[in-house]
Amino acid sequence: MAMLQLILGNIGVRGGGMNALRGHSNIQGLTDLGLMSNLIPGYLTIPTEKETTLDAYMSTRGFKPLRPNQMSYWQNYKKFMVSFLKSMWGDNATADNSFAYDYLPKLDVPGYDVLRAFELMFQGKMNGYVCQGFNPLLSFPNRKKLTTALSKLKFLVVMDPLQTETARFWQNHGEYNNVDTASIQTEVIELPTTCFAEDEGSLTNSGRWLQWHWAGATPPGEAQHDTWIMAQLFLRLKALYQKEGGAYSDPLTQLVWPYKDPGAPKPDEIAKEINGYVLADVPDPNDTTKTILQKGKQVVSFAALRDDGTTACGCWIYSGCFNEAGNNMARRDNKDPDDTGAFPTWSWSWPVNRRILYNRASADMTGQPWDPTRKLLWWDGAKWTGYDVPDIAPTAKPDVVGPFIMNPEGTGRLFTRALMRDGPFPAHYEPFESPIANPLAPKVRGNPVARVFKGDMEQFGDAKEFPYAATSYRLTEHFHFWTKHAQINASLQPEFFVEISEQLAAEKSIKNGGWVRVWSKRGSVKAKVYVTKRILPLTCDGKTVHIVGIPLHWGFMGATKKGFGPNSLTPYVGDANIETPEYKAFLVDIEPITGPVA
Amino acid sequence: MTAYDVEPGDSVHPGDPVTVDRYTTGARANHWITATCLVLLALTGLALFSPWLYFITAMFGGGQTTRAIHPWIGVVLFFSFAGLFIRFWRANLWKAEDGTWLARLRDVIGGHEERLPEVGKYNAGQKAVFWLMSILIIVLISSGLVMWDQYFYGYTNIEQKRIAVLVHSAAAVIIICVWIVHVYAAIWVRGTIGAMTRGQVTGGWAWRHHRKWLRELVGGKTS
Amino acid sequence: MAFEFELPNPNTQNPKVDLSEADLVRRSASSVPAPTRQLTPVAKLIDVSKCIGCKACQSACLEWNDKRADVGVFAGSYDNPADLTPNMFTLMRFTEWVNPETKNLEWLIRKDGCMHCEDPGCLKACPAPGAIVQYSNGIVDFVHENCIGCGYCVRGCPFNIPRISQVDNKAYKCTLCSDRIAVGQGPACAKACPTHAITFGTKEEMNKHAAERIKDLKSRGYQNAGLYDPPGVSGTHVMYVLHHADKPEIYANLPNNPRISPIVELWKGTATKYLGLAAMGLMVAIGFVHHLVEGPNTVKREDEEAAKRLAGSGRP
Repeated sequence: MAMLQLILGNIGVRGGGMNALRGHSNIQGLTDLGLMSNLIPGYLTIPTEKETTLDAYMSTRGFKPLRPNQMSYWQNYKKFMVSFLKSMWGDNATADNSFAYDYLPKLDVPGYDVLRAFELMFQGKMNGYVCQGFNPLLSFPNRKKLTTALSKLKFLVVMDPLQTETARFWQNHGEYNNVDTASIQTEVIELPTTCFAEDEGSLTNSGRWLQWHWAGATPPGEAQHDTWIMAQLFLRLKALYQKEGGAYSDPLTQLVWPYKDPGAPKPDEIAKEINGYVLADVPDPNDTTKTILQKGKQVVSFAALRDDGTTACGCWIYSGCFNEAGNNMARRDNKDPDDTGAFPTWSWSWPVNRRILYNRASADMTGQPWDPTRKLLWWDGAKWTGYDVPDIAPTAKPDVVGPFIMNPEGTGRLFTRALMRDGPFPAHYEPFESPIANPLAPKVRGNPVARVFKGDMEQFGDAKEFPYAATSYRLTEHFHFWTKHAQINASLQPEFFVEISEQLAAEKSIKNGGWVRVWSKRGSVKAKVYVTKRILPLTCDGKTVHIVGIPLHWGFMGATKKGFGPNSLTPYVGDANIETPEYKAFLVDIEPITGPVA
Repeated sequence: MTAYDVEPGDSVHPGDPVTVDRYTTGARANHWITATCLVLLALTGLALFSPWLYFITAMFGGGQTTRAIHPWIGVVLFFSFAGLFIRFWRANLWKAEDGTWLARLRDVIGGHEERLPEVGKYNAGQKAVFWLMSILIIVLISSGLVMWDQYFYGYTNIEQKRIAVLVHSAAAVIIICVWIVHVYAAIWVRGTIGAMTRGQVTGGWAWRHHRKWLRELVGGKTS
Repeated sequence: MAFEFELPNPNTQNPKVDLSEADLVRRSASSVPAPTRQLTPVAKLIDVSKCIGCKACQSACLEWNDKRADVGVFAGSYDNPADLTPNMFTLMRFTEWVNPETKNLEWLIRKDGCMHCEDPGCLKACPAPGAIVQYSNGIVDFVHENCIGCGYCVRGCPFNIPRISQVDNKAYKCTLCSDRIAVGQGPACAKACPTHAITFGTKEEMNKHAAERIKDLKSRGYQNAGLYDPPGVSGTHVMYVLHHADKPEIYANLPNNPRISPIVELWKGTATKYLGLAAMGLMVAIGFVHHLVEGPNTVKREDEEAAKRLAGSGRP
């Protein structure tokens, strides 16, 4: 999509762009703050075990411009990295100890994604798991494998506002969770958390706006904020380490913890840490006797960050969200000059409140907008001006500096440099379970550089045994597995069903509203069936391919009728580049049944 | 010849005056239960038939209660009337003299009984009341069940429900009219009410109004 | 305006009206004096072409009225619950329809619920005084303290909308959020609708809005797009913009040219009422007159003598 939009000239213009359409309301925030095992906030990367020093780490992260006069903004990487390290370890991170670089974990594998984590559990190599705001038993593939994995843990801690299937993986629910409770030794600890409506904080959307929201209700019972729980765990672990010692506890015990109440960090305190602040007075460059920013004050944005240890910043791309002007994320002025759709004074977007990334691309080489009816940015002779914060140095000449400021060459790319395992262009491969052979590469199964754990290859089925293509998706009435706990949502879509075409129904004598069994190489489910005109058989490589559509919102907990999910059936393999499991394309068989006993 | 219109328990007692047993205790109880039900049904039904009569609901504890008890009383009436039907249907079968009686309706209204043929236990008017009531009660209970949303909502569609309510109200109006005729006739023909209260009539009453019945009883005929 | 085909959102600020008994134009099984003022007629417009079937309107309706629908089962369609209930005042009805002209599949999703007819069949059928009322702005409301749970309103309604609760034996239906409108807000469903398929305002405003929508639909190839505001019930205060207004029945049996059923008109018609009561009154009157004229029909002395002769006097 990004390649197409680049070719069409739709990047950096009003109504254009390629914004990642995320699946959750704050998933953009999750990746922005680096909650992936291989990320540091602001899309900096965790070092590998080969990068034993900060210098070695930075040697491949120089990002010097590859063409003259290009911005290549990642060349400021070290400023962001050092400021991040200062925000973590404060005075314990100095130039003498490479700003506590040694405290960072080092990756021995490309990443500890969920498939790897549960594989380690399955092999008995991970014996404890803290599951925060996730329901892996239903959301990760191959449920049988997951149940076995969880059963091998010594302990499982679940932090969630709801009673999830994962928290109850050990509980027998008849055919809906057919486990032998007595044989499961895992100790499960449930720490009830608040839900989003009981929290104050920001939510980052696909437009990169960090919209601040306030709590609408007080938490029930013993539920606590996630931040309180994590702070409480930290204080206890720190005390235990200090009392009993332990293997290399410095990264934990040396953390800077600047909260007024160390056991209950407040959202605005955390926001200020993330924005960044100066650790020494900042003198006026024109008159060094004067101070323009006192020690401890918030930086205005990441432009103020330095790599000498005088600035701290939890997440450089968020810098500017809560500076001395206040909580910019909480702004609610909905003016929209020229109806650009940017709403520049509503909330705050990263980076530095730019609403449209690469917006210099909306103007031609002389600095005039390509489309005068959709003006965004233009060159006034001396600087860039317009309806958005310029995503380029304000005085960067239009015929000199390219709009793609994050790339060392200053231009967009139709290929990647070392960022894709099967790059430089995306290539089409069939999923591991495909009803047909890949017409472009008939001898290749799946993606040749995808990671498949030992034992999972044997659990792939083939089209002879499982003739139908299945896919999983969502309905409007529910959000994943949460809303089945809400009575109203439950009444609007009460029961697990699969969807098939009229043609497949006729072939298998399946009646609308009846019961079916759907099974794959990994598991079997029972469901109601909706025979619909909305699904038509496909013709792939000359073959008729029937589809079984499987919405995912039900389980054995909550207010809906008990049901199964598609992940009882899905295969344990992820995308070659980012390890997202193949939820959307796998093989099944289907037959009508008389239905479970009520 | 069988005495087709003598009912079990009917008998004649010589005396001054002659007395004739016309209704057993059981029959009378059955009749009065049915009658009470019908009156209550008419009242509760009329309260819901016209806004002018809605005030009747106050007698029954309000609109909700009126609406709620009406079908239950209907069920009681249905079974009670079934008892009456089983008792009286034979004696209400149409006979030749019934046609003659009807043809001379003017004499009936004028009270000129001497111009009327001898009739059995029930005259044509009474038989008409009997059969009309039977048919109307079946119509009312059937349409009533269709209307009884509390238990039977799911068995019919909306169009059927609309027809039921029209049929029910029409049948109710008719049955009230039939009932008025029945009550009036019992009042007008003196001595009739006693039949249903004490169970007996005088010989003279039987001679005047149901001579054939009297002859059969005297002749030792049984049902 | 960013895009030429995008219409401005209709007015969301409505005047406070403080609905009261003085604003009634009709009252079931009774009469009302003319209202003290004529409120501007309101309307809720449902643009079926913009509806995505998300059921936010169903959720909002339940939340606003503090009701809950039972968790049922999957019964072969996306309709949940399967029918309107005393708690679920509105329902998305889904129909998979293959357009015979274009051969395209169209997933028609219609929000079912009370149409707030100008000539309400429910009110006409109701026997309980004051259980159903109509305000001068067009809202038809149920007054539950007067409802007797007879279900006549269900039969009177040309759209089969009201439902009787098994819990309290009263009839329930969409109130057009009369309580919200009284304080100047729009209905809860309109507020929740993410596509503005549901809009609310004066009937005049909604007619204008509908005309723009219909123009837009026609420009996109829906030649028979139109407004559903059925004259058979003198128009409604809930209207639909339909892509195929020439065949409303394809939208889950939305009645084509609905009117109060002639059976109901007959049943509740003044003719039947007057005739029925008159017939009964007449019978009583005839009885009175007959008795006056004829006198009682008494058993005579000679009848008793004749009986004694026949049956024996009991004396030897």
